[in-house]
Amino acid sequence: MKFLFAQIKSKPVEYAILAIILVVSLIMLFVFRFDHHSQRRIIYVTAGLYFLWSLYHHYHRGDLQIGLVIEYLLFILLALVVLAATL
Amino acid sequence: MSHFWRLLFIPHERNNHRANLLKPQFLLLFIGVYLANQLFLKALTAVKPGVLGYSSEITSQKVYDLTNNQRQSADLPILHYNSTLEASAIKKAQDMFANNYWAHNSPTGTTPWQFFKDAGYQYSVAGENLAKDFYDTDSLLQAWMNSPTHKANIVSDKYQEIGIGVVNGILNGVKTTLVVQHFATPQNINLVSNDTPVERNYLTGKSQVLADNSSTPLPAVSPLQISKIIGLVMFGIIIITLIVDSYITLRNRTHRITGSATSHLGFILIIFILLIFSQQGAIF
Repeated sequence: MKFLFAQIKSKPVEYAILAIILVVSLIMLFVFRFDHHSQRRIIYVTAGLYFLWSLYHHYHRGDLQIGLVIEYLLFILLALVVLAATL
Repeated sequence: MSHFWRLLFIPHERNNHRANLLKPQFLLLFIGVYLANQLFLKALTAVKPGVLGYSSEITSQKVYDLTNNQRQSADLPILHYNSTLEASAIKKAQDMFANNYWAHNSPTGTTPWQFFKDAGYQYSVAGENLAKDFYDTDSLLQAWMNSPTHKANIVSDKYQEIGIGVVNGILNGVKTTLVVQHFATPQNINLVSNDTPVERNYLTGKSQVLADNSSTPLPAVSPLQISKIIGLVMFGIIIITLIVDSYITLRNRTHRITGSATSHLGFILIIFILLIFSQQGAIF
């Protein structure tokens, strides 16, 4: 878990924003646990915010590169593909 | 060979200090494998409709009893069972199977209220709850009670009667059980009936409907469960790899430009948790 704390310590405000996005998303997913239509919309919004956060985070770190953008997009695409089949 | 496997999970100078499984080409491979599985399941359900599906033990009597239990808990009078409403609920379920849709309004624009009228029920107020893919009646009622709009129908003091349709059939190539609740109060309140649900096992083909008293068990393997297990395995592998990769990178103080492992873990964990707790069954 050391690596998590090391990363969070380096940019506490940015990671606090990410934590808020993810925790709110988790709560909303629980609230709408029997409504798959709403759950899909929540995941789309979370994925969008996660992507925007990644752009902001790496821009501020000064290492925003196309390879990183592709990496985040592939993680999001994988999540959406799996959820499209299971929700 | 063991070196190949190690490079999948462990950052090393031979994989440019990044576990291979986290590289774009392997993420694309995960996506490709998952899509191939989906195509296979779709092809299987198209070639052999009904091979995959849900097994359900839901009956209209159980749905009726649990619905009235909920009303009694809310200090409301029980709903009387009406066979005309049951007929309209069954027709609605059969229409969804016949026209391959899952919604209150059909693709041709037929509203739920049309089924009430076609069955010959004159209502002053009416409502509809839909459910599919549930295995047992308790989870089904729980799902409806957790949804404010569905709960509003179940514990509404506006309704006096109910009819329930529980119909097995093939929807989008997958065997399933559709449950339709039709709530209403007749225009003439002196006509409130007191029927009882009659246990029937309705099976729909593509266009014809067979009423059958014999019990026809449905297969228990669902495509959703297969997709869910594959998804969980994939995300489990990615989570473990992210942790191992980040730990070794930190320990070796390797400097590299990659996405934030913390953010990836957070996002993937949300999806992982959602997959674990996602309920079988859907309501509308």
